[in-house]
Amino acid sequence: MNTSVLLAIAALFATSCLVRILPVFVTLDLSDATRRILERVLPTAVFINFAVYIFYSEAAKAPLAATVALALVAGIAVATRLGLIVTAVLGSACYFLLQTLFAG
Amino acid sequence: MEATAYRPVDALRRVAPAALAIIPVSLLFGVLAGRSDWSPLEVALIGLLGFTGSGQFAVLPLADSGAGFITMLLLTASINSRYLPIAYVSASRLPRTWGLRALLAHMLGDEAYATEGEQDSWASLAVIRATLFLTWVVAGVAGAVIGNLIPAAWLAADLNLGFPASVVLMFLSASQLRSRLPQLSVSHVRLSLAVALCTLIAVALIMLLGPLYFWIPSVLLATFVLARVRS
Repeated sequence: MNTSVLLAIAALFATSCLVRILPVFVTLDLSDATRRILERVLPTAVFINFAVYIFYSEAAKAPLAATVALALVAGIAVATRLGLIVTAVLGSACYFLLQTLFAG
Repeated sequence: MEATAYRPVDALRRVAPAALAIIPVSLLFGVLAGRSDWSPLEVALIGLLGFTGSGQFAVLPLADSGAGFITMLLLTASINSRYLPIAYVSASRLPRTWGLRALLAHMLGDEAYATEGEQDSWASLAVIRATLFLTWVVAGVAGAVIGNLIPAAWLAADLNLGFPASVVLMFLSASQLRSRLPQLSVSHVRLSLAVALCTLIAVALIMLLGPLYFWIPSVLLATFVLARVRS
């Protein structure tokens, strides 16, 4: 097995231990207010950042197609009861259609 | 909050679209790794022990160029630093047995976190995380195996195979926000302004620090803004 590959695997495993495994064994003595912030507010902040990150990273590759398709997906998720599979198909179809139209 | 009963079929039904969406991304990783002379066993190991989309793609060229362990660790720890708050917050839903707890923590991913609900039992979390984890590993190995069979021109084509995965994560994030934002018990106008401010902060930090390093400061600032607007 290649040494560089082994080092890469070791680096990723060490990363997982640091950022995913270690935090679940850490116990902090928190007040109720702090605990509420961690349980309610922090996850909301994470999902806002997920959404912004996805918009940014995809818009950097295909500004128009990604913006329209992701706005469509976010709109459907917020405003309708349409399921994930149908929405994913609609969003992906919209993206690849716009890509094809504007590439040609 | 009380966890609901274990419903494996419900958990599988919820995670299936996300699992399908990550297959092309993992296949692509496997193909690229295979073309860099990684064996299927090495691709399997990096999926099993590393399990991170962005991190795996990031170390691929670094390993090719002979970068050291510390360099790769610093890069991947920075990229995956977003898992620190996510892992900590979701820890209360994990089993107490340390081995199982560590295993489920290791299998945490963006799609899993966005699929899980606050009332899921740890067994449902296990189904969700293991499904995504195994799908990722198997698809990566499949990519490494078929990598050399795919014409090079296909890989050069301007086809964004990762977009369906982005669509799924966007849908899950928006759905989570739809259910979580009203729980903050703030007037609609104040909440909209707070979310707009958090969005602007995130964009500004991405421009300033880049999309790899904005996570921790941006999540902390957004938490601060949302906490202030609640008080």
